[in-house]
Amino acid sequence: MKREVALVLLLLSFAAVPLTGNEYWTGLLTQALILGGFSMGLDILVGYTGMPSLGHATFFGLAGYGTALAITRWGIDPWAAAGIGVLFSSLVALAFAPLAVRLRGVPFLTVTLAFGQLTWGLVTRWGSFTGGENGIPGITRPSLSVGSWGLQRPDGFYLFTLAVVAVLAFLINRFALSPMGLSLRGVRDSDRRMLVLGYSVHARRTMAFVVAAVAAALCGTLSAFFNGYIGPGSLDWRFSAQALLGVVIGGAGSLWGPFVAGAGLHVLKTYICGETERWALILGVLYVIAVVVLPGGLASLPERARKLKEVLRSPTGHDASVHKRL
Amino acid sequence: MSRVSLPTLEVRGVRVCFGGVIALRDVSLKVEGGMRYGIIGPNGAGKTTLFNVVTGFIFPDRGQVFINGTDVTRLAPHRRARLGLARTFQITTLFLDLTALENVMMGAMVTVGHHRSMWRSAHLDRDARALAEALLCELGIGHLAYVPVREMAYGQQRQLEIAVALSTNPRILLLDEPTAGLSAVETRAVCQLIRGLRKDLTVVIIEHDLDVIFDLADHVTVLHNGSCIADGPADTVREDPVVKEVYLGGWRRSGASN
Repeated sequence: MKREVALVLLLLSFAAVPLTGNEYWTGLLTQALILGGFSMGLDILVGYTGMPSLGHATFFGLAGYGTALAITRWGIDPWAAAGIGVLFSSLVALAFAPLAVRLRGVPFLTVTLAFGQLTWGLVTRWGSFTGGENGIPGITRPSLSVGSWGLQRPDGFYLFTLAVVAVLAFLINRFALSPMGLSLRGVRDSDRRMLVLGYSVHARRTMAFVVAAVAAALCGTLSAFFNGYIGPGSLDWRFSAQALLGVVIGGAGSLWGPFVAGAGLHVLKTYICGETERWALILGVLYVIAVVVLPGGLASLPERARKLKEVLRSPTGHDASVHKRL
Repeated sequence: MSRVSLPTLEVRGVRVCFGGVIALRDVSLKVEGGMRYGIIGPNGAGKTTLFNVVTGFIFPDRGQVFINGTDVTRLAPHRRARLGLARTFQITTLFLDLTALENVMMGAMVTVGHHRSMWRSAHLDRDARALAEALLCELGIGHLAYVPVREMAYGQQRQLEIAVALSTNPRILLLDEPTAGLSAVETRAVCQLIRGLRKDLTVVIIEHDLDVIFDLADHVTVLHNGSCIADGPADTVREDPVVKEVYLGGWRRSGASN
């Protein structure tokens, strides 16, 4: 019960952000929420199923491109276009997954990277259709208005994003806690054991891949609407790496950790890019710090705090084993 | 009736080669329903390879495998599991990051048919949970339900391995050296546990420990260098002069490697 109340309060405080009237903050937070959802979805694949993908931006970008093309080339209504974009991207994932899930570890990482690069190459070269390096501007947001208030306004779109991402986060959590989610953790730990229990390991890994791709696709479409633009940057492998780092820094398998880290990385990136162009360098340093200092990611912080409290409260004031771990 | 008339597991003329090495040389065996079937043989005799052929991890170069009369020689492992085949591994194969209860629930979810659900909560799944908890208690590790496998003692892990194998409610259970690496006390506990298994469950046991096998099995096959050198009721095999010479004698001379 306490948990539910805390979640509602958190949601309400997020919903109150536009009241500050600061459009810059509202905009930054919109994009941060989208990227948080993106990393959270990726956690199903990386943390739950143990499949580190370095090409997940592909499904983020393809959904954005699908939506953009449907609107700007064929004049389809933005709502329907969003559906087309998400569906297109999910189908590409469904087609690619059976091939990729046969591999694991580094070969899997490599093949997802290769697939991402292939898509990126295709989109940048096919300029007449996809806009090439310039991308596609002029993506109109869907219409949903209450009086003078609607999705065309920054605060309106922010609240819309918050609602979509909250529902997405809820669904991902529900999925993770279901028998299906538990079986994905089984696949991560021992596929031999899963096979003799009667689970098709390939089918489960495909499921994880597609679920993560659908989440990415939703976020990609939101992002395209928010920016009114989609470009090849959304397919870039560095964007995939950023999402993957979000999972690692947040704590793989915890879902909320990757969400916070994915959102936080975007805010950080926005600030740092204003100061210097060494974003990649800083991302790398962050990664090293996360792996060395905080192997469990942000998600391990509450547990560490609890242990620290125990140590401070214990009469001797120290416990060698706990100190070592802290 | 069916115990006699229905062979639940049959291996017919199976041959497996790894490169140029013949791991199994035309091995045949017939396990009747409800049997306690023992397979013994020195290291490298092909015992685990035989299990891998039966469960589908290795497809044989020649020969067939039948479960309940159905040819499963080319069937994938998870499909054979659905036919009621379960196994344990010589090297403990569990979900180390999950709790004992979650480990057993993985199979229990299949048994109650909830393993494809994406909406219900796994932990609140009453059917699967009741089944899993009952199994853990039955095997005497109920008090470990919420302990992550990583933190369990080796002997407890071996017991859990049997619980997990039983969680799919199998009809045939293959145990690959269930007492490997256990102390004398733990070995007795596991033997007790195996003896207490449902009588309609067909059990095939690979063992190194001859006392264990002759204690548990009512039918024994002896493998040596990939060939079946003796096969029959436990008492007959124990007294077989060929077995004594080739296997038991060699065993004593090599000083009980296990």
